[in-house]
Amino acid sequence: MPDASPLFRGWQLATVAAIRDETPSVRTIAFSLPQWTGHLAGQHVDVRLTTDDGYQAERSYSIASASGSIALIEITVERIADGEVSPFLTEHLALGDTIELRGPLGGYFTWSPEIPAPLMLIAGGSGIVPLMSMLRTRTKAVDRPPARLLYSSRNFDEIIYRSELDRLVATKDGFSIAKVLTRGAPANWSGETRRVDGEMLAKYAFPAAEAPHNFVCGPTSFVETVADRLVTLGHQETVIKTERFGPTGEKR
Amino acid sequence: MIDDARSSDGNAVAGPLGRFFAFDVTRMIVTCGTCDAESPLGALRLYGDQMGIVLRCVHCGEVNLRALEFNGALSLDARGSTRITFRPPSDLL
Repeated sequence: MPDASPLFRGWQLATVAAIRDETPSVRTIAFSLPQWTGHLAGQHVDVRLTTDDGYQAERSYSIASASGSIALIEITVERIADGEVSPFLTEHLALGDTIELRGPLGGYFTWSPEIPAPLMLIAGGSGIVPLMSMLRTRTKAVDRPPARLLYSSRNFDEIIYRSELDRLVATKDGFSIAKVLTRGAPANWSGETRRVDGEMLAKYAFPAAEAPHNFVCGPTSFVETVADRLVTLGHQETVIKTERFGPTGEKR
Repeated sequence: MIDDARSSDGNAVAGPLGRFFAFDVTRMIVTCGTCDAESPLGALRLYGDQMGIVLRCVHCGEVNLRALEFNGALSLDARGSTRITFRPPSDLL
């Protein structure tokens, strides 16, 4: 049950309302949250699991669903084989189960469609999750700034939200995507096949002169490389928002 | 605790550190006590885990903030920062 102590306030019970596999190792879980009052695109939640003997583990997961939804959110979780929490969330959690959840959290790595600046999203692996919330939020908005996504995955089967992203591009509403595969690509692959570098950013990112807002999310080394190159390309640090995963690129 | 779900920057501590403050912590501007760099807390480098949070300056590596949870108490050590600044949201748009 949620803890009543003021020190630990903020936990609420979330009930699994839907489960959807995105890739062989990535699963989306929708939670029903009676007390949820909405979130901003890019925010996350903390999930707390308690074992029978009282041991607790907390992890942060980005919200994948669009802002504006009430009483229901989705998170997308990548299973890490030796993880403490993600195997439970992706393999054992079933419809109707409850977990403890705190949020929405974070105001730095957030985006709202009221910002008219071009929206540049750069993702490595499961770093796509908070950026997907931004894209879904943009799609629901009346006035949509131009948006681009540069999305690096290891291989084709690990591209999260692949068909939905293709559908978003097909609406031709000012959104485009450049896909990158770093560990082998299908024979008919038309995207990039090397790690994201300055040349690639010069090709696909909005130029600094257009004053875009840049959101970069992925493994630490990916995020730092991209942020450095964006600065080199003339973007101000204040419009480069970053969110880093752990040292091995495992997180949300 | 080498595990999944570990973010390695200040974004990840919005929940645990948020219990100290009335405002969103990831957007508060931390001024480094050593090199004077100003950075949103969300961009600081995170070390440690949920029991002991260590946030370091991205420019010089100084420990700007430490938070510990022990015996039911929360404790914040901010000696590595000279200033913490909150600004209204519109300033950051």
